[in-house]
Amino acid sequence: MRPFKIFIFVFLFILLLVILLNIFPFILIEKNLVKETSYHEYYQNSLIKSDIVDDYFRYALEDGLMISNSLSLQNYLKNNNNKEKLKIEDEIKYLALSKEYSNFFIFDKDNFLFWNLNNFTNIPKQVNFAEDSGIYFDEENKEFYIYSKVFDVENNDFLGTISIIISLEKIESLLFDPFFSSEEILFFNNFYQKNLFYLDDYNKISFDEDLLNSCSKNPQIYEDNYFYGVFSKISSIDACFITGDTKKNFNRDFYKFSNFNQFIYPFIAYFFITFLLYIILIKNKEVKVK
Amino acid sequence: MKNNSKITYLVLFMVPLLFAYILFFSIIFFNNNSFVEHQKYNLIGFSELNSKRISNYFYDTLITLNSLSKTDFTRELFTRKLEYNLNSVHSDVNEFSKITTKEIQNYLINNEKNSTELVNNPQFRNLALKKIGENGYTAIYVLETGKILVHTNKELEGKSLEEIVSQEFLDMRLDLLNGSKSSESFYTLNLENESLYKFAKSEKILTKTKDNLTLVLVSTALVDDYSILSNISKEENNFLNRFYYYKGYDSLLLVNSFGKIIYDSDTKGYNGIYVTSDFLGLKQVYLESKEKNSSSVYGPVYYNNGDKEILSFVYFIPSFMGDVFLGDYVVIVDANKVYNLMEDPNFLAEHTLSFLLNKDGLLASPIENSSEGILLQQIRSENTKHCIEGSYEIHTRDGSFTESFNFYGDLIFGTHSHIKIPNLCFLTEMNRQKLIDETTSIKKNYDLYLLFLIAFFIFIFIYIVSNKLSKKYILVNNEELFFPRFKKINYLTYSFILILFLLIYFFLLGYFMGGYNKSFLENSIDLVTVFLSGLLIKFSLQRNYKKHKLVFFGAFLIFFEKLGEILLQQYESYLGGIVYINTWAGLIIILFIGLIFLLEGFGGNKKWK
Repeated sequence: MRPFKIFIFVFLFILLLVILLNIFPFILIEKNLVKETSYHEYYQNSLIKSDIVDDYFRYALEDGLMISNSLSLQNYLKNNNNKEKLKIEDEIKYLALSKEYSNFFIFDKDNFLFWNLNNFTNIPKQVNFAEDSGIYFDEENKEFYIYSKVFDVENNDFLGTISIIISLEKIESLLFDPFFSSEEILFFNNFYQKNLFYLDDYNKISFDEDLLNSCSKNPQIYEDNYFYGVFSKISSIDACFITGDTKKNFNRDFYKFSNFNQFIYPFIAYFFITFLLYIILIKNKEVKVK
Repeated sequence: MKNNSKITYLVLFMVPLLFAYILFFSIIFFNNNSFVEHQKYNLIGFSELNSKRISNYFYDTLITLNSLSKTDFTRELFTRKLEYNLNSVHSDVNEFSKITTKEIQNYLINNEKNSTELVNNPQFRNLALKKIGENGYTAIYVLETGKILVHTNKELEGKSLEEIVSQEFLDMRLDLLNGSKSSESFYTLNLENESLYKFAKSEKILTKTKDNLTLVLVSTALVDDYSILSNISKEENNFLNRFYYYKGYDSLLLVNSFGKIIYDSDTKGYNGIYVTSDFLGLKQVYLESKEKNSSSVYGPVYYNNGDKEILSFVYFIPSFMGDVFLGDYVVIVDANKVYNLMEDPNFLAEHTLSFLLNKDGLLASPIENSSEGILLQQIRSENTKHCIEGSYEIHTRDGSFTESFNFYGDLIFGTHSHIKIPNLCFLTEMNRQKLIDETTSIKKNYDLYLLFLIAFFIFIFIYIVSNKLSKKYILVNNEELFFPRFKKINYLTYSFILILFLLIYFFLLGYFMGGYNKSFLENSIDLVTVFLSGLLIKFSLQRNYKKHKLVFFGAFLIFFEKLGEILLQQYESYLGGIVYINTWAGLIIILFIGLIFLLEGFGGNKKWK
């Protein structure tokens, strides 16, 4: 056999071995790792982002309570004179605008609109409130309403209700995060199967009710044929926050972290060295023999 | 014969190189990379998200406070006429007197001096003479003689009390002479044009001077300096109170343009006191806020809330009427409210550490639930340096990531985020070695597969090489062999011993994988190799046969390679990925060349005779 043929044969044989020894386990190892590491990413996202949303609603709830306990507001609802109106506007306006609330309503004791911050066209003239103060989601307008009832501090008479309105976009902006590619889904227990944030083609998937019932503060893994992610509860709005990615996108992540240079550079070095040795040790010798 | 030698060369050079390559790749995957990379990325994400959460808290409070300062309703409070408060002047003067007496007492214990020496001692004067409120001050007289020792007005020093003070002071002196520790009184000071209502306290300093005299500290303050908002309506009180009640702040203070606290929601008796008073702990941050003159938050600082010092963040919100500065809303928040927002990164939580640093590089939050060293311990590491120096940079994914030593001296993956208000650094650090160990344990099952393949190919290789060489060459004379006694052991036996050794090695490696002992095991093998090659060098220098020279070169190359490898591991973090990999590849080639020399030296190849 000619030396060059031997060289080619050995080279191809080595190539085969390299593929066997490296590529195959590489795929096995990396696939597993991507899942493992993505889990860490989703876990932390789920935990902290649900806290961030939770905090935002908690602060808004505090604002609602703070304003509903205002004597100026109580006087305004009782007397409805212009002086009181200016006072309460003064109190609310800057707060609501700087916190980017979409609107702020004051309803009287018969649930008729008394005052509002922005003159939107779709202002409800009269609404049916839930029994208690709290946070509610308006499915039609895709807005959160934070209700806080106003009682007279002296005789505890019901005077009216205030409502802070928060848009879904505001929540979306809280979840926006330039560092992570994973998609977020904010999902509500009390509005079952109505996803608020969609993955591209995720609207055909529905979470089963058991999963939503088991949603708790502790992040847990969710996995089906199509999706892999982690879910946890946003207590203040009774929502289940799911963060994760489609399995299709997993393959994209698989290559995201594998540095191809690590594979190709040593291989070129290997090829170069064997070829050099072949020239020096074998070709040279043949020349000498001749 | 010619073909045989070509095959021998191929076997000698190309196959070892193949194994070098395979081993080299295995090393990459053993230690790598993807998991570590992803965890780095998670670490940055964690840092960004958590600092965002903390920033949100500060921002929300700041906006709420700003909205308060913008109401006409509260602005008007600053312009209202103030009325004096006797409780405030009493508690402020008492606090000053207590602290100053203690300081002077400590000074006298450590510096035994005659009273005459104290008069012109700058250190003593500095301790004894203090300003209280806007117009108040302290002075010292000698109890026995009744003569003033030090006074802010130097002309009065040496004069007798009877010459310059009112009857109340003389009565107080009498009280002290009769054995009281202290005495106090409200009194009116009649001047030519006006009458000033004042409060004074005389307190004995319990340590005597060297000439056995008792000193008395007199602290006086003008009651008018302690005037506060007193006619607050029910509605105004409701507004200010619910504001701090519903948001869970610890104190809300209104500070007028002269720096005087005119309203204290906490009713701790700080009404009328100056916000720069030393015992409050707000002096430095107040002065900083005056420089900035816009709404901001500072801290953490130790704030004396009347009962104890609490670690707090302090908001200063200036209020303006047009361009005229009216005063500040000062809100104090317990720092624990912020610390509660700091989560542990849940991935590999036991290997990570998160903490805050202030702009001076001092620790600003507890580390591992321990509050020791907060605002005392300076933390200097590459990671903290990046954060403090690059405070306002916008981080890219790689930009905020550091691989460096932490303040314990461990190699860490660190990341930092900047919390702009109140200028804090949020640092997260992960122990590098532990993370790599974690990676190894995740890969455990796949490693076994890889190890099996490697062991199998090593066996094939050694079998072929030993077969070829032992058949081809005749053993040389006994005396020329490196170890003469081993001459009857053939290559097959050598190779079995080697395989056995490798299998034990890999078994142990597999057993310890993921554990803390793994690195010890790896290092110990390296060190044994260095030791053995050192021994070989020593033996090979004893005789001057060519075979011994081959062993010498072989052992020297292995010795060199192992040392290089140890150095490479040490400085791995400073070398870029490709430099690191190629250096390693070079070292492995050196190792194999060394092994070939050894093989030739130990074997009986007659051509080296």
